[in-house]
Amino acid sequence: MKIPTIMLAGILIVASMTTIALLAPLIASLVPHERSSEPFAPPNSRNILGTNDLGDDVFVEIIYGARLSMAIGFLAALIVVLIGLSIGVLAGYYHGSLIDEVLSMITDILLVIPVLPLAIVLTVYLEPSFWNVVLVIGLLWWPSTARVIRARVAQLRSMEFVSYLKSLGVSDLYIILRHIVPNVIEILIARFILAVPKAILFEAGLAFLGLSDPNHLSWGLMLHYALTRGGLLRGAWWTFIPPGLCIAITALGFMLIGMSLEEKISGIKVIKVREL
Amino acid sequence: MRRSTLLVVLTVIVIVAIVITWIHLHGGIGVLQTTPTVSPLASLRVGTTMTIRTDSIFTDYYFSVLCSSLVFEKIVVVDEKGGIKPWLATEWEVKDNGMVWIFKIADNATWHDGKKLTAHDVAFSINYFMSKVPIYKRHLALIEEAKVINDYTISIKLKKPWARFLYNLAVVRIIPKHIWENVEDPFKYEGEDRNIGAGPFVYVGFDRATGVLRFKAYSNYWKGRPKIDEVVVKIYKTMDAAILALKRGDVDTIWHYARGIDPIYVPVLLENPNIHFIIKPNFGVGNILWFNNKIYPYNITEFRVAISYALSYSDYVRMIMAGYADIPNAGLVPPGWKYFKETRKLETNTSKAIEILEKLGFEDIDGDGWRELPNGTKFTMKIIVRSDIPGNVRLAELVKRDLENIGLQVKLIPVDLQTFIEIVDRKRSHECFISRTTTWGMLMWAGYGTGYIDARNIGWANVDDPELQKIVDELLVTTNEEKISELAYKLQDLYAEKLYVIPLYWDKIIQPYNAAKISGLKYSPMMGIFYKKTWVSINIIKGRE
Amino acid sequence: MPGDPIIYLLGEDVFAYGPEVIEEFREKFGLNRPLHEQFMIYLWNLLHGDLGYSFSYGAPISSLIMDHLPRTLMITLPAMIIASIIGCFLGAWCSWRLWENRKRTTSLLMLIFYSTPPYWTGMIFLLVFALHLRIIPPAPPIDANPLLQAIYILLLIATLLIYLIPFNAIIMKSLVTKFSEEAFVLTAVSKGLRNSRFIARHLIKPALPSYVTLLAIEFAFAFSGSLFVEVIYSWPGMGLLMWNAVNARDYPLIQSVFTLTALVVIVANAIADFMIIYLDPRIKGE
Repeated sequence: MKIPTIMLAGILIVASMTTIALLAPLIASLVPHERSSEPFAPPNSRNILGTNDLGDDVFVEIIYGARLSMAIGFLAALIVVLIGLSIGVLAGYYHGSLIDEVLSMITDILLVIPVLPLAIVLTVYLEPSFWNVVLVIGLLWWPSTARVIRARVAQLRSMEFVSYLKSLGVSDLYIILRHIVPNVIEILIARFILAVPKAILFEAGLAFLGLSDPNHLSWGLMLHYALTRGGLLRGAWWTFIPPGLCIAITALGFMLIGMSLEEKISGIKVIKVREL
Repeated sequence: MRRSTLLVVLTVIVIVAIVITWIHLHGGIGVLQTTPTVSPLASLRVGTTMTIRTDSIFTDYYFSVLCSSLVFEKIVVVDEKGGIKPWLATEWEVKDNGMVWIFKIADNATWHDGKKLTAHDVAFSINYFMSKVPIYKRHLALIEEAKVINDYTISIKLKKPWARFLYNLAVVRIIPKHIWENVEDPFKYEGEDRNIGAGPFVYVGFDRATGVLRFKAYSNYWKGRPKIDEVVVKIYKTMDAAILALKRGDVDTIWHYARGIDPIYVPVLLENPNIHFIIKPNFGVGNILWFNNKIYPYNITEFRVAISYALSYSDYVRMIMAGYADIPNAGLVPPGWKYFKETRKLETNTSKAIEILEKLGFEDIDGDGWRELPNGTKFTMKIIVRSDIPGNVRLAELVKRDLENIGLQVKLIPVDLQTFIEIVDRKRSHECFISRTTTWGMLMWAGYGTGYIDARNIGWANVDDPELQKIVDELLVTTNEEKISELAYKLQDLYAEKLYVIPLYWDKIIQPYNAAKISGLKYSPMMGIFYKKTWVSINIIKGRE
Repeated sequence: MPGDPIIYLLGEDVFAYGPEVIEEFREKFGLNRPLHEQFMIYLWNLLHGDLGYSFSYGAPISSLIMDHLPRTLMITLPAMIIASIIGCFLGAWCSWRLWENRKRTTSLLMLIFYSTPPYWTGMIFLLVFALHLRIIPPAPPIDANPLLQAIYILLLIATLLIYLIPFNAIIMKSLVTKFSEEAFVLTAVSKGLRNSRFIARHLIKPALPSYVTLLAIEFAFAFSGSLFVEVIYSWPGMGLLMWNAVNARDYPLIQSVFTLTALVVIVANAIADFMIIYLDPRIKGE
């Protein structure tokens, strides 16, 4: 399979970020950094990217932030894809029935409701913690995946081999597990890869609003502190440009992979709109 | 893109830009409205972020606060040192062991509508607030009855002796009997005369569209007409906007009670050389690590002391307060209080902290890096952090690191104010938490923060130490100044010895003002520069807008 | 318990007032009634346009919204309109297969901007324009000359545009791509036809109906974006209202802002659904 350059670039980005995330403590120890130096110190020989409002080295925070952002991205995307798969398969397989109607309605409702305000309301009611954020993202982003899966499953369902198997008396569950699901894996993977950047961006948004777990530092949280602790006001660009850049690059990396993957799978350069 | 499409796009952008500019030139919407500026009057322009919706002291909290300084008079006032000074009550005596208080009322005060203010108004106000306004019911619950002796003397009988009674009285706004005696429900009263007071300023009006309140000087004010002509209060939506307005000279000062401004704004304001700062020690304690003294192991004094040696106070001052704070003393009560005692300064000494912990038996037995309790069970300090106070979470992070440094595992639990009150106040189920105290809170109960410490009152520290209670009980009934000072010193010594709670820093109040325009500002820990005495001494260079 | 007004009415010193006072307040606001009763009351009030009381602002929510909504619309609507138009053309341009390279770069650019969080771009703008170049102050310039105000707002809208245009462009691109693959286009191209009028007539026009209806989805997207942008620029619109509400945990206000936003989006979608039936002749059945 010839890998287009764009996808290659994406893979490169994602691979680097993942490596950074995994090797965080190692990388951090290689770089000279001091705990509790002067707050808001610009980049200098002791702190590559300067310090934040607590005197912490920004570079080290970014490295560790990679861990959290990636972790949340993957976990949330996993939930998105699992829920999307289940609902999509059920709705698509029982295409036209009551189950399909109900599930599709739920999917459509969630698609229409503005996700960020809803996420805000949910997170505010729950305690802002790591798992709550993952849960909220997972619970709100599955609709687009569900739709795509549903369409594909409905397509598969209408194929001859399915009716043939059914006439043989094969149970639905068996058909689903042995024949339907394997055929949607490709799409699923693409959706998963596309869900990660959404999750990362979304978590960053929530963190920025102060709704994430302060016990775990993420890039979005760094931006939050840069704004609320006077970093922006002082012109301490090193406190917010690096984290934002990391968010953007990481998200971009995943999207490059995901979109070129989808192109390959669906054969045409179409990005279904409602699934954005 | 071809030329034609480009043209279309550009046209659209230009049209939209024109529309927007047009909106602005015609007054804009809300925030963009230009307020009339230059006036020939000597006017004090105050910027604030307090939201004010209606101009009734009963229904609008912040309006009521403003008016309690500008428009209405008080019986007594809380002064710069947190003590009580006479105001409308020129002198008083206490009889019957602190049960009966007799006040002489000034005889030259008048209402804005010309009528004279008498003891009848004072007694009426007390009774009116007590019966009609829920908050005051509590404040004045001690009062059995307020009686008029003669036109300028009233007598108040209490249900039990209470030395701190004057503090309760300090919140009562004196309202005119002749207006309010016929008003059944003050919350619904909309009469034109609802803001007639006897204070230094007369309420003029509130322009809701631009968020501006005006008060003009009362020429017959009993302490002498203020030297300024008017006070204009401008409401801003965000503190950033208010600070910028001050810097640009659109307002002369910023007011939010006695809170002052956040240190992060100081660099911005320093760019205007005319802006000076009143810097005073805060009467409340900037931030404290509280312990629930009834829960193990926080009930062990040495444990609390050990923790106090682990905290890096100078870092807190530097990082959280940008240097506008001091390392606190173990005696908790900040300097500025009337009977402040210089107890020992809190010290950072990690090895000492570890030494004490080990002596108490907190060792890491299972080798996971964290100390267990002396009986071997795993131990995690759960610290509740109020997330509604900006910067609190950051401070908590620093505290967490300091504690982890001596081997204690910490979990931070951020909560909002409601949950905080639920846990700390109603259920008292907390272990430790980080929060500040307010000036008013420090004055509660027997003063000097006893309200917060003593389990019988607000009781955040949940202490029922008989040593403490003895001192408190005496303070509650003594009116003898010498005895009070003695008790206050003893109290601070006890705080320093037991460290029921550990103060984290003594912050400073930073109050900015335009020194090129204003002089004579006075500051009290309750009302900040809206301290009553300010209106007597304030002066303005006229017409400098 | 969520939505306890006592705290904001009495301030931090609420505990000093004792349990009786607190009970009285709860009585007054009906908070001691069972939850379903409270909900009924909420709905009843809602129908009468009474959205409840915001405790952190100390004001009825409906008036707060009346205050803040226009300011949000003031920046969001122009931004959306401009973004749709620009996005439309960019998207169409992107899919025009003859300019492979330009298309690639533009697509890439769109993706890059799409991955960029709007609050980050806002912060960068503020850094450059407010702190370094000193053209504008970092907060809305009230009482300033109209030109300054206009510049401030334009900058705000620009930030929004960077966030919205890629969204629109990508939508448009996918819609148009479908058409550009069609046979008649291929034949026309092979015949040498490649001027903009052709693009407009045969690619953009058929895609317009779907595009317009999908703008309804853009509403939700735009509101989220404007929330972030307002916070950065301290622009007192619905976004800042939500931000303050969240910071103060002012549950009634949070709920109301959310309900309103959701309502607007749902209505927009409903309108869009009608429009698609109206606009698309194929569905009409001609």
